[in-house]
Amino acid sequence: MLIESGCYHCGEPLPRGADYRLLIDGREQRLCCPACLAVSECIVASGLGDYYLMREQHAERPGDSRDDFAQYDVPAVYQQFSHAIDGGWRSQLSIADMHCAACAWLIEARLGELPGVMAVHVNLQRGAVTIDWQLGQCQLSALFAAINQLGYCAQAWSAQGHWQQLNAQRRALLRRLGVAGVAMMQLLMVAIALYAGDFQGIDSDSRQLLRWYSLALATPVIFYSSQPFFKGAWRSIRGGRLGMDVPVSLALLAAYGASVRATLSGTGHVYFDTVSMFSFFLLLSRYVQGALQMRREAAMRPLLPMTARKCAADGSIEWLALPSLREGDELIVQPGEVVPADGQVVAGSSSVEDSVFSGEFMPRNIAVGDAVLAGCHNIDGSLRLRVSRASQQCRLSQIDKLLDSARGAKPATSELADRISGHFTALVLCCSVAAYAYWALQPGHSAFLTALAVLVVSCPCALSLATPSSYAAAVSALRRRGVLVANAAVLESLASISHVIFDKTGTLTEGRPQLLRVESQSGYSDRELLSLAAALESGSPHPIARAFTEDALRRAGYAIDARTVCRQEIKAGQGVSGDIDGRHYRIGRREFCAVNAARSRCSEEQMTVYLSEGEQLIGRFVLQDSLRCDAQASVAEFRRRGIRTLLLSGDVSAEVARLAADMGFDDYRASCSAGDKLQRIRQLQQGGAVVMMVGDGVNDAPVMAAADVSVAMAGASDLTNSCADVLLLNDQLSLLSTVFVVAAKMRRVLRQNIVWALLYNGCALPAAALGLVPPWLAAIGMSLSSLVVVINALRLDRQPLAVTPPVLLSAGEPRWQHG
Amino acid sequence: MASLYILLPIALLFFAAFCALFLWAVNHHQFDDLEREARRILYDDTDQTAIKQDIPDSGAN
Repeated sequence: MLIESGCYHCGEPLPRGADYRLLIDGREQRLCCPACLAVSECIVASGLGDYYLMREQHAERPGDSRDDFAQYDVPAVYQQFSHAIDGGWRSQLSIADMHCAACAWLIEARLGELPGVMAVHVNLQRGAVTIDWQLGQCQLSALFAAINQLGYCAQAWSAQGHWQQLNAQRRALLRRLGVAGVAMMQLLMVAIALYAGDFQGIDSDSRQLLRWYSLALATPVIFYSSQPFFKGAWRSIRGGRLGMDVPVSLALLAAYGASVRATLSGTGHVYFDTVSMFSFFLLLSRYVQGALQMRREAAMRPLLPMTARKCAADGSIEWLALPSLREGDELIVQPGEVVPADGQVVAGSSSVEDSVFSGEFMPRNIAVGDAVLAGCHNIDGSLRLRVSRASQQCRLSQIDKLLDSARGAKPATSELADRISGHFTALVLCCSVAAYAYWALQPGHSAFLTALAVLVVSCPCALSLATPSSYAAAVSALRRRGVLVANAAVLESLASISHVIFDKTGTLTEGRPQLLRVESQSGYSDRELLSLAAALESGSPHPIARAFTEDALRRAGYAIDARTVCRQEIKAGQGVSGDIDGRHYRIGRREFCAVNAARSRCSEEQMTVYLSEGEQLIGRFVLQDSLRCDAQASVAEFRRRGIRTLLLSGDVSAEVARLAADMGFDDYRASCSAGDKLQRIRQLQQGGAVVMMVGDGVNDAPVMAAADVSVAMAGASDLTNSCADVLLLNDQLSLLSTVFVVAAKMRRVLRQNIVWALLYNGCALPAAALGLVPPWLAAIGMSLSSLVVVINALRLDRQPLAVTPPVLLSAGEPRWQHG
Repeated sequence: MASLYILLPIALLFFAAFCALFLWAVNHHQFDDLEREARRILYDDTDQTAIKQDIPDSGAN
């Protein structure tokens, strides 16, 4: 093994101020840069951590050349930040230093040209890019190299790495901002002296001294603080496009250049104060935007701790990095800690607060046997957990993946705004030249300052921020309340919904039917019948099957024997068939069991499941499923909004009709197959209706896909296969009205933002060209215009008032800060 | 006005000193979290030895 002095991955000396840490093999290792961090995180997470023990020399630092990215071509590595899609892989990378629409465009255009790349989506707000690529046609390392050649630093996406990258960016910006701020204060004081000197007279030596002093202060502002603008401008010019940094950089360089010349020659005017103000205010606006984004990210994903205490069989405790946790490991979670993995409590009891999932801040009590999800806060007792899912598959990361792809999507309005702002920048450049030419002919007016003001005041940042910031705020506002929007575009179409279709089982009802009684039709005992039923229903995703699990039956007061079933076949909406001990059994609907038995007389809230052996009915099970408490109110809410409500159920029981009448549905249909439901939706859509479908998201996938907006109750189901646009994470139907309210608010905010941005740019440009806007006002105006848009969008995401337990203070805080 | 020839370089030194101090502070995470540090005093220090005794036994319950 190597002696670690520098970066653990590449071995280069650690730069000052670099603080990237990762837990590898139980020890915290320091790394030199985000790129190394990302690579080693992937290596460790994919279980290839032995690489570090076996290697004889340090790895290449991930840099410009293509070979250095070869690590990303290893399937186990790229699977960490990619998932398979139709015909290839979808990978998510995070990219530092993207500022404007031009950056996004450049990356999309460059990657789009590469062979094997199917689609590229850049999300500017989050600094993320999603790439769909085909295996065999293209290699991930080539994509990384292409992004690096453009001058951006790409890394494999990981929540932790992204957070650290954001933090590093914020610190860099803060450094630049601080230097610019202090220099600005000094420069303004000197500017007052010079200005007073112009009126009252000043000897040329003093004036020259003050100018040289200003030059000394303004130089770090240009060469250090303003660098992000120059870098951004240079990138966009190289990409053949006019980014928003171009006019700003021009203004800064022109003002600085003219002032230096004036200082050297001892004539003319100096504009050092203008330079520092431009730089300071623009950096300030960027810093605030960055800080707001970080705050939102922190609130949305309470980062999991990086390590967990694993409890070995002999009672000893070992610290393990999260990616190396395996199913079945036992963990200790102390009070005040965040639960690190999905698992089941095997010892201890406590109360946990799971607002990450449900939006509910009241802690709930848990005891042995209860499931706990990663990301919950353990409040007041020690727990011993058995891990039920490895950390990459935990529910929190499933949610994150859906959320990431939702926020990666680009609404049409956003693309339009980006296109407009590209043209607008060209217009601004022309205008400033025209303004200079015009005012240069007028005596007694500084044409140069007017041209500077035009360049700075009319940056169309506000316009291109308007749409993405509103969408992102709405998505996170809903997420906070326990609603996951997997497809942000539906927020727009919610306004025009005319029909809503409800499924019954699992949607209006709790989907947890319980066995009421068993009716034997032959010589079989209840115990034998239930054993057969339990075996047949095992593995069926239908909610009814849950009534036949061993736990559910025990709770209902029945015991069963374990039977093995072979040739099990699940027929959606009908039932399950299979062979047990050489005999063929069927369980499900009456027709499915092919028996002509008279229907069991059951009361209205009950349903009956039949069991047959061959063609012979051998038993009946009567089940009961209770209605969700907020179902009635939700249906009423839709009616109040003037939306027609329909109930389409696969059940045959008379319960459907009674339920529909009771709850005030406009229409209902019982015994619908998936095909019937699909047909009904198509029929409605042909009639011009915009249909929203509310279902459980598992058994009715094709129906969900056909509806304009689909909503799924995602309480306990696996989210990876979900095809719904909107997921209600805590199964509360009443959240549907929240979705409508937030979507309506979002549309209002979006309109306000776009109107404001157009109005601002429409007024500011002529005003500046007319010489009405002094440069300092231009800098403030341009910074404020984009902040107004971002802050207006954030109104959507205001914290709901809640009593927060003290443990929440540490929510979202990355552990490495204290490391 | 001759004093300016001394005072302005001194001001420049102050500027340089501030920048150095500020960069040092940012690099050492002094500005990373402005909210939590004020509340840190409210928390008890976790005693690592106490944790071991506090582990629930799988046999219990």
